[in-house]
Amino acid sequence: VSGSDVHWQWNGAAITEGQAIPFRILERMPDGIRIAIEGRNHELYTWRDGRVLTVWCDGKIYRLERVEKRRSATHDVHAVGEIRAPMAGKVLQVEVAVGTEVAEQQPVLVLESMKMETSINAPRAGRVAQILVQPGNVVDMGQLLMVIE
Amino acid sequence: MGSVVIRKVLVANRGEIAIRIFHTLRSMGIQTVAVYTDPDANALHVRFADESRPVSSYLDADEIARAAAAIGADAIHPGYGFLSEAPALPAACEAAGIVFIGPAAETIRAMGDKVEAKARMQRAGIPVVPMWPSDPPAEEYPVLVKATGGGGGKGMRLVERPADLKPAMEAASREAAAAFGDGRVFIEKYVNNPRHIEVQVLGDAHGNVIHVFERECSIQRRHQKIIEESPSPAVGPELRAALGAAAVKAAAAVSYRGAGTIEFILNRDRRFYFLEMNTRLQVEHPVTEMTTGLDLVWEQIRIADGQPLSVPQSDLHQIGHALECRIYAEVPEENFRPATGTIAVYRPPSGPGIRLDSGVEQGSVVGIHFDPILAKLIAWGPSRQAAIARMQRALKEFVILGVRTNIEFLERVISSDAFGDGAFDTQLLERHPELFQEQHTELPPAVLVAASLASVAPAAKQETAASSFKDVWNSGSWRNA
Repeated sequence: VSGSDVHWQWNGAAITEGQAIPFRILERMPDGIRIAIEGRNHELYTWRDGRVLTVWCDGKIYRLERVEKRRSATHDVHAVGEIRAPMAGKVLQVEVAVGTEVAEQQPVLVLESMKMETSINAPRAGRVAQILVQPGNVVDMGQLLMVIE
Repeated sequence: MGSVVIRKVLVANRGEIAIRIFHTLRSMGIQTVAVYTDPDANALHVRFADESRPVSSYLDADEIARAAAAIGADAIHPGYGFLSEAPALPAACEAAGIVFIGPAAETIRAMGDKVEAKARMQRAGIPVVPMWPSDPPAEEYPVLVKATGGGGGKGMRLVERPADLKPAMEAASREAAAAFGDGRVFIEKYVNNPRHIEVQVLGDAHGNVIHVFERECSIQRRHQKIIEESPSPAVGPELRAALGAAAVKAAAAVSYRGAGTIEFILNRDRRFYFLEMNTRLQVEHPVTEMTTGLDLVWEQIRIADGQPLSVPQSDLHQIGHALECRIYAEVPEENFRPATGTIAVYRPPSGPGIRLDSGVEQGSVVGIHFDPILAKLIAWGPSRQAAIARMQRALKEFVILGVRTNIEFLERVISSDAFGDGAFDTQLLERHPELFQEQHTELPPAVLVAASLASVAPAAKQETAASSFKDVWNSGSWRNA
């Protein structure tokens, strides 16, 4: 495998670059490939979404993260008081108002996804500074819901 | 088979169960009609049917009955979930002159009211779990808050202390209202370390009632079953006979007509208690079909058509062993959070003893609107061990990429000693946190090859756009080292 300018991380550790792995392509499929390495056959399917490359290899799934050269600070650094949606879903209830003093782990919002309710708790104690959603809003995973100062 | 007057059936459901019902209808020479809501306009079940109709909701009984009448369907099959246990659907069917494939509206209402159902079973001499409408005595804790009008774990909460009862009842009530359109809840004694064992029953319009043996449903997450099997490793011939007799008695007590399920809990002393009756086809019905040879949907349609049961009790036998794994779009390692997305790669398994009831294919969009079940993988083998081995093999061959699933987790559970020895109860997952850890600690060289090939995909692809191997292979920029 020839080196490339993209690096992948797996379980937080960088994958060694530049090592040569001789392989032979046995079959190309519309969505995957069969290769042989030292006479042993492997079936592989990949799917890439943003920085994550998911590789299905012989019945197991490996999720590799692409390490970018330039990092955008706004994307990576979440302030501790930011509450983001842990999953896509619909906001069912907002339990607090701007200005409410909340305790750590106090439920602040109820999210519904696939007919299951999930209570979202404050990550720390503080005052609710911003509420960016209201009941009925459909939110994406990772979307900012609320800010606690 | 005799002369069937049912010639066209509308299935008021979606996903894998709609398709599974279509399969049987087709084999009976019956025309199939799908209904769909907006997010499902391009769903697999819609394309699989002979005809389809848009509806505003899978929960609007009147609209669905009108759609059936308009398209010339003779009958409606409700599947499971949605309207399957809503008396409104048989009522709407009757008004529209359409056959409802299921029991009488009154039976559904009585059994759907979990409080009334238990009272009736108690009168019929069947042991039941203690329950209260509200505020149980403090010494009875922990208790379960449950939906009066539905099952499947929706609207259910475990409450350890009296102080937590009110918020739990409120949350359960909201969830129940959203799932079943009925926010009523009640409280039941929580039985520690039970097994969930249910018995399939069939009753016809001529007063015949039979049972089709038990299913073991103890492997659950968030009170929802994920792995089921038949026979139960906890049930021997004597207990099986007792469970079967109790189930037949329970079904006969409500003059049951159709396919139904009597759910029991089995405690450590091998005593069983009636939990509830599901007046519909169960998600896990395939394990019964695989071990008895019956097609339960075929029986349902015959019964709805007024025909007698196709087999007497004495002709039914359990042969071999069957397991079912529910394939969910979720991340077990992250508290089973629901996963969404588009299925980019889909390679279903097959081979000896394998049955797959699937509602998705490559390109299917998995959204936030519905239950996260994608498919059910069923394995049959001459013994439990053989069925497990076949299931392990099939799970390892099942490729779904683009949406995260519980496939690897299921494989770890069925491969564990705790599952293998058959001595588990409903707390198996809570007792074995190691099952939530991915066990592969080394990155195989083949994965590096895949990563490297994926890295040289055309740079023009935006970061957000998903790309699969296809792009890499077609780009011409890779090199066979």
